[in-house]
Amino acid sequence: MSPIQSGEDYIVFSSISKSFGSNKALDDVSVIAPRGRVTAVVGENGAGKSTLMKVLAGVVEPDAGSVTIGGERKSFRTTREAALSGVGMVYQETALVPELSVWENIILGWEPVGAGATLSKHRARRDVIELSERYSLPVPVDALVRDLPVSVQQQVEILKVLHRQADIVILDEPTSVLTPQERVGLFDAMTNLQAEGKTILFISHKLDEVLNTAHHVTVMRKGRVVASQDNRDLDRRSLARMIVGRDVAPIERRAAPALGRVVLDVSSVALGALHEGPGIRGASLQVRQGEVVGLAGVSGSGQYELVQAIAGLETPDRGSVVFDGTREVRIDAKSNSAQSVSALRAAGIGHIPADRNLVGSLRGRPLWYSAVAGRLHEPEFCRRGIIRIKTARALASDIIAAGDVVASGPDAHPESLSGGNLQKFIAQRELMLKPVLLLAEEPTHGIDIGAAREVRQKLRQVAADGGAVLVASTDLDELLEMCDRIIVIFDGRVVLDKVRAACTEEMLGAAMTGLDEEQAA
Amino acid sequence: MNKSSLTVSLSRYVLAAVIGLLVASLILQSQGYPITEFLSVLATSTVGTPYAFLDVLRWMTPLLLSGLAFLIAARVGYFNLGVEGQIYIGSLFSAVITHVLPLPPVLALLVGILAGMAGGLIWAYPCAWLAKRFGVNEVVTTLMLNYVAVLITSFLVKQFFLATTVNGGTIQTITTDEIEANAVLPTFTPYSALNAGLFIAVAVTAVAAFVLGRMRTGYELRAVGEAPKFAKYSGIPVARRKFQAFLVSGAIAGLVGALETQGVLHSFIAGSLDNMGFNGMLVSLVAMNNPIGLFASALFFGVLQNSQLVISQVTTVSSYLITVVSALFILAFAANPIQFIMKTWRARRER
Repeated sequence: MSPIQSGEDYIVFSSISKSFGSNKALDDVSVIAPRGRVTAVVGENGAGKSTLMKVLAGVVEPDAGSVTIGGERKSFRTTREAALSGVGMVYQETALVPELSVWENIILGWEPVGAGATLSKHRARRDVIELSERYSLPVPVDALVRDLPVSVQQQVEILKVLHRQADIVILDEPTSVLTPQERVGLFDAMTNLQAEGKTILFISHKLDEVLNTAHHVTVMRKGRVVASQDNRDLDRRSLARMIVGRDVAPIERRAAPALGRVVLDVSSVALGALHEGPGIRGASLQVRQGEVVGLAGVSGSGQYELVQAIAGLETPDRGSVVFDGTREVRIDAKSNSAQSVSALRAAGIGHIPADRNLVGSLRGRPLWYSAVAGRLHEPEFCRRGIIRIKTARALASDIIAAGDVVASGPDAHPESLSGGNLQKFIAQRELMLKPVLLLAEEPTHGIDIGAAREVRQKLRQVAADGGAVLVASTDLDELLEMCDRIIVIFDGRVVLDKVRAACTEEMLGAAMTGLDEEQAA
Repeated sequence: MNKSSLTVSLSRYVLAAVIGLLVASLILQSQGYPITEFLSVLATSTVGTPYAFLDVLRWMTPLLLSGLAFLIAARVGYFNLGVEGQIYIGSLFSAVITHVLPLPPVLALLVGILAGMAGGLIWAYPCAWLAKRFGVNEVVTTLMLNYVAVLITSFLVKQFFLATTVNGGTIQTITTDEIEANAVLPTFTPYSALNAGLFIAVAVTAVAAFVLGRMRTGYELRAVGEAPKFAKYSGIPVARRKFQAFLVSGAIAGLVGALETQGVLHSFIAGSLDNMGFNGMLVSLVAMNNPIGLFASALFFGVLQNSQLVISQVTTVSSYLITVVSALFILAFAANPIQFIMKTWRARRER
């Protein structure tokens, strides 16, 4: 057994520096992570957290400095080398093979070999099932990965690392795509891992989960470590201040203006499930000018389908969506979805999609391609069918500046931006439309607390300026902070629709898990 | 494309050509043929006589357009392997219409070309529709319809349009009667088959390059092909754009057939269009699906195709050797040794 006892210094980063071009991602960083404990690395987007973790995982080679694990100096050139030494990393963006099943993905690269060098499928599958039960990460082992929502895909990634028998598990913002319930599952899994003596490093933006799960907290800002200390001495406020470098004020909620006319009228919309779950089975709701409405629900309860129907991306099976923006757009079972989307956009709807990589941006092409999404009908960006690249690039630059996006310019490709920055770019793009109604799915997914506050403030501003906002989020705190009214979807139906002041976290939690209905029954 | 990436792609081509010729030379050497003779024939057939290069351009014409046909479908994510068959149908349509309808000069030309394009479009239509309506894999449908196209054109010609000899008898080759003189694309000199079709091909490709590169349609096709979910989210009618691009691809393939009929063959001749579509696919792949790159790529394959005909006439070397050279070129190009070299070089510099 290792001579290093649980709780003693185990992973030691000393004086790590790494530059990408002129950008110093890590500047003389020294961090110590104790064995068998959870160490949280927190900081704003671009603070260098991911880069530091990638040094440990063998993805990034540092310019200077060294890493020792258990007193042994390590420098991994590849992720495989790192994995063989028991270091596994779960990335923010999943990298699974969509056409393969869950168990195939988990064993990929580390296949158990049976007699005669054949893949022992039965054993592999059984191992995966065992693993998923042991760490309470219930995944459908035989489902194809492409059919799974992002949250389940992430669990598959975690299982994949566990399958490689990692001793040190690095989690890069693991909870950003998980629902509250799934988060509990993850924290249980983390506890299990820790009980088996594994060392966990995790990157997070969420203060509460850091405070609740981590033993040791390292705060980074602009490539340097600003604090590294025991969790005991921390509270929300001091942690937030360390991350941002100043106090983070709660968003301003000016006295709500009198509510205006109804801009969105959804009546009895039904749509079959697009992923798993019940789909949406007859949901009605209204959104008025001047209000921010939250759509809460455990992931897979039907809110995804509801938002797709409202956004015009899917044609509802039954019911209708009437959007009364600069002109009226009606969507029902007879609508053509391509026409609906462009009609809605032209009538003043903005939409921040949940998937920033595949839906929100055009990967592999300069950012201005993504900047003009849905706006080429405007003569400013396209005249006589010819794209005006100059104004398109200018728009991209404006979005980058206004959204405080870290990007090299309008010609940077979306995949060169960090997840949080791309999210900011997309959110800002939709805000620039000055929408009558802004549909926001997980608008602050993967953004640090300072920037998330900015985005929430801007969403509130949309309402204050006479627009309306419908936010779908799995982050209850976010909804409670920014919404005027909260709607809860459970099992494909609206089970709660109350003004914010009348909501408590317990009440929402109960509604989201269907406890309300059981009690009523 | 910035300067350094341009250098990288150019060296990729040069290296591929060098490897292709080198291996071909080795094969020649082992068979006891003089390499110098082979290379000199290659050079002579390309630039040796004033008319040689015109012949290269003659072959470049169909290659450019069939490359474009493949490329347009590829933009939206379709692999149109049916260019071959669409060319056959286009050629027959053009030959029949221009033979049957006596029309005044320019009109006859236009009608023939439009008929050819319609033929290609009609042949692409079922594949496009099946893909759109039922998600049937276009690779299978287009490939299978190639066989049908080759055989059905021969059948139709034999049954209904077989050419008659001067004394009224039938002839052995499966070919239609000569088309009306009004429908024939003018040639530049009696010593080369190069004709005005080159201008049409260049103009169509240039227009397509502009549309794909600078216009909204091009943006939409790119979004549809590369990020369908993003395209849908942006309000682009994904299914319709894919369908339209497929049909345009077929129409351009039909144009190739029409230009061959009206420019070179002056009738439909079974077997004379073999591999024109598949070579177009290679042209497009080597151009890395860049419409501007099609020009260089088509020119290169034009050189090869032209020398293939010459080489068997003036030497004892098999004309298949040219096929070997082009195959080796494509292999070396696809394997992309430059990328490997650059990577190792960079890694070494970073150490």
